[in-house]
Amino acid sequence: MTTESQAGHTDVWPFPRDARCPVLPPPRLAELRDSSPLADVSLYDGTQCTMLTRFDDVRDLLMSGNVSSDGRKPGYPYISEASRANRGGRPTIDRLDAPEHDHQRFMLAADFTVKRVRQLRPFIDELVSDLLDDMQSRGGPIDLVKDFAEPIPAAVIAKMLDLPLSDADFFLDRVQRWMSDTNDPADIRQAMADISAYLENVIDERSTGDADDLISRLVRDQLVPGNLSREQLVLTLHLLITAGFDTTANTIALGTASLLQHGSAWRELAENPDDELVDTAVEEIIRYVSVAHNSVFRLTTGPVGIGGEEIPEGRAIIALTMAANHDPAKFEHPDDIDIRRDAREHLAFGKGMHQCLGQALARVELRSVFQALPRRFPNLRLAQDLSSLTFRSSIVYGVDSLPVTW
Amino acid sequence: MTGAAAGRLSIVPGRCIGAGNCVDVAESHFDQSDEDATVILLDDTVEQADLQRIRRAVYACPVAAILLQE
Ligand code: HEM
Ligand code: SF4
Repeated sequence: MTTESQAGHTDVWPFPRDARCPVLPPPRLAELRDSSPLADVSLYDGTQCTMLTRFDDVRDLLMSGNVSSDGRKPGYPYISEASRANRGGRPTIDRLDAPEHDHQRFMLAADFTVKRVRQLRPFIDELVSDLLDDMQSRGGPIDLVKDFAEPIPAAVIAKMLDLPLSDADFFLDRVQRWMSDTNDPADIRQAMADISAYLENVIDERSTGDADDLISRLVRDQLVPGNLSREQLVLTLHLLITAGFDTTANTIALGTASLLQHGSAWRELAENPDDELVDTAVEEIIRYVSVAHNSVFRLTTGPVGIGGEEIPEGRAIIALTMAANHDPAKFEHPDDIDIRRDAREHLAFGKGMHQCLGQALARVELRSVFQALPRRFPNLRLAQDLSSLTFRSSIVYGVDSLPVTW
Repeated sequence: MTGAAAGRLSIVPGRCIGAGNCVDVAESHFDQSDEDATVILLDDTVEQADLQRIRRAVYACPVAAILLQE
């Protein structure tokens, strides 16, 4: 079989998915992974990138000291014009290098430790239980995205930042308009401006007093002594609000859809929701759906040896964690969802010093969801065929709605 | 030391970013500082029975901050 690249033609990323299995990575990735460790691809604006698709290679590159995440650097790759215009050059921790990255990360990390976020479990369990009660009393079909998956991370981050839960709908709306790659640029900017104005106001309100919530502490310990500018504080809070929304919500929606297509997994979780099985299942779900499919881009700052080849300095890199997570050399039968496999090493949260700050929180949310949802709705099923739904592919992969019934 | 120890743990100074994977996988041996979330080694001795769990914690660390000598 001849492929386009063999004919001397560069593939353009992102590649199309297979409409019959829309949750799985684009089939072309398996061909690239089989044929060589490094693939040349180009982006929408012609930027030439090196794409990595093998598990060991993606992991090694992200742990290498010779890569930069600094989106302000010339040559740093962006997935779309909307992404470049609206997210480019914003110095938030995900797009900074050491030492700025480390300073900002450590100022947040204590609030995201495993111990701290596990204290939120009762709150999250109750939230999930209330949403399930609503579903039950309304009767199917319902949209699992709008009625269940999205409200969870929205309420959880509001709780963490001590913002009124009633504002969660406002965030949800603005974050979605801001994250969308298809939305009108003016509307994207407006959504950002709305969130910034909201956050500015919260910062003002919390600049006096001795409250113990994260925002008050950041104001007191970072903004006031001048460790962090006001603009940076707004951006950091904005990142905390946005980073956990689409990622967690789509992991819930696509994870549910994937489990439902493997009826035995859903039944097993419904009948045997013990902590250990739920933990294992959640890691497998996170691996399988790998929703943050376009967020792990880098620029090399020195040569990096990968798979026996050398990537030169100044090269734009797409470290395709989704392809790594479906590498059969690492995960046997990677395109099957197997809730008993040990998938803990997956790269869906990234690897290296930028590995997801919110991962422990995401795990608590997902464990609560996949413990309660199958048990409460053992007969849940898709009300519409997956191939007929609208999938959205921006920085995070997802589905617009997921009609389910029981 | 007991002869049953199957491995010994140490932390590479200055590397940990506080991602907490080690605690999530092996609370018996790791904790995180309340100040900056960096790792606290609770027990540097790994018994045979814990070995597999500890290996998972080592692999899960995003920055290779945990060393296990078997
Ligand atoms: C299933 C849910 C989630 C997934 C799949 C996910 C995925 C990721 C990935 C892949 C990265 C690394 C990006 C890179 O290396 O360039 C990342 C970073 C990050 N995530 Fe998440 N995330 C999730 C949930 C959350 C939540 C709930 C929060 C917080 C409320 C959060 C906050 C962050 C932050 C602040 C960073 C930047 C860390 C740094 O650069 O040091 N994420 N996430
Ligand atoms: S897994 Fe690694 S980076 Fe995370 S807390 Fe443990 S030692 Fe630190």
